[in-house]
Amino acid sequence: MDMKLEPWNAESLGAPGAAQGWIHGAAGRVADGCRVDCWLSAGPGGIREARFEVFAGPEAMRAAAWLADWLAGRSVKAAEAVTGLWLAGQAGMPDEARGEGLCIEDALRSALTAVAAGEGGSEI
Amino acid sequence: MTPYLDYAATTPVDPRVSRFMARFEGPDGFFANPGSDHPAGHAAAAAVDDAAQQVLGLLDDPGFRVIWTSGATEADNLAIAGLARALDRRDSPRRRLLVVATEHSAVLAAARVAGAAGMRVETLPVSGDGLLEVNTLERALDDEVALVSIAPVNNETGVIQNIEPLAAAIHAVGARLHLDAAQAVGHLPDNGLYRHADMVSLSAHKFCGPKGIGALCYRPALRLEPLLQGGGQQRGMRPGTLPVPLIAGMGEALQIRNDHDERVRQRGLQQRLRQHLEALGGVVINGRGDGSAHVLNASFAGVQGAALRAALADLSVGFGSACNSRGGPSHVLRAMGRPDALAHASVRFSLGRFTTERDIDSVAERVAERVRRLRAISPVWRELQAGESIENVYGVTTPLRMA
Repeated sequence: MDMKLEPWNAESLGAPGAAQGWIHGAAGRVADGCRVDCWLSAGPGGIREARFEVFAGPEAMRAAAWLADWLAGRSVKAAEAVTGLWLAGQAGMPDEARGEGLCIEDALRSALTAVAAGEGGSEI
Repeated sequence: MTPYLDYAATTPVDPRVSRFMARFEGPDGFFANPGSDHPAGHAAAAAVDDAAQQVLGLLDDPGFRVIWTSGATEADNLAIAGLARALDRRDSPRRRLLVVATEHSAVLAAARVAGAAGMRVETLPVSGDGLLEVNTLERALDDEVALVSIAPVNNETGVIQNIEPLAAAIHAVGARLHLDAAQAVGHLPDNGLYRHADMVSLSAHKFCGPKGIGALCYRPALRLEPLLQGGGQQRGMRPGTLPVPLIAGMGEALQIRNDHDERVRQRGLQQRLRQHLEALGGVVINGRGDGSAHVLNASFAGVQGAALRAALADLSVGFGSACNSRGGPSHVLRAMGRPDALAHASVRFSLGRFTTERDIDSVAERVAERVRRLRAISPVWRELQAGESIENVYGVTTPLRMA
């Protein structure tokens, strides 16, 4: 994503227009001030497109948008290697926001679990 | 310059006050030390006396004495910590101090100091709309209570406490009442409110006067220990040379404080803003419809607090209290039962003498645009739109009224 952009305006944030064909995972709690949902469109070649919904601070939005761009075209195996710590470093998250990086990782893992389970009608 | 909607934090100095204060500056002004026994000192002292009369006029009770302070924070500290230390020195049996849970941080911090001086500090809960119920207070009162501190107008929500019956209950057990009236001046009708009090804290910059000046008004029968040591100014209660231009400016600001017509105008602006926000949907108003006309506090469901602050960073509005700007959820909204996530996603809009309809429309339009965008990427808002209740989503059992 364009890092100068206000993160809430990133194109890869927000739920997909129609949920059909997308696989969904969620992590975090409203009470903790961080809830992230991950939406993946995946096929035999890997991840076609990723989107994130973010109820968290602007750093988490920026990191989630960066990760969505990064995930597009990657293999599931590459996606499974993503950690919150790695993401925080790649997306330049400040130390105090790194907990939100873990929340993004957890949302991605939740969606990848659904991918592995073959939910959502997508083929890997 | 974006519109300024943070009058509860501080107000601009009214140009009439600035012009008046200019008379006290420079070699031809009343610049002398009012404690000096010469003509220039006498002239400065007369200006201080005139301002004190303006304060007593506001209180509508000549039975108060006035101590000039740097503002309401110092006045609150002198009232609470000063009384606690005096009681400790006299080994008084009255050792309980009651403060409302929604009080300003200056009162709560001073109460902690009073606790260190041997007072037992207890917090009075409020109802979901921020009101201190009389029976809640009555249950807490006994003949060991020395002081109860209440803000007639809350600085974050504008909630107006019903002082008369509360004061009656306090005085019935022989306790004293301190009013932190920083947000009340010009925002409540002058209907004898202060006559019910034993101490009143005031701050000029909250009513279009200068920053750095305020007052603690107290009944002469009360014994207070000074917080500062020094010369004998102000009967030793608050030593230091008096800032005559600031004091005169405070007096002038009181003279031209908001009148009934201005309060009606501000109520119209507040209602206009409220209509704008409620049209957005998913808004929880933190306060009461009959609160002060200058404050409207709203939480935006489905929006995360830090994201909201970032998205509104170019607007001069309040998040919680500017006097307690550490970024966490407001203790006032927590006391009113708001969940942390909703308390964190609140904005205090406070308007004043120079606010226009155009300011209101401009701020409301920008807030609506940013909130809509944040909600468009929020899983929490999606769930609310899908029919989940706000109580379920935010994990609370207390019903929340969402417009």
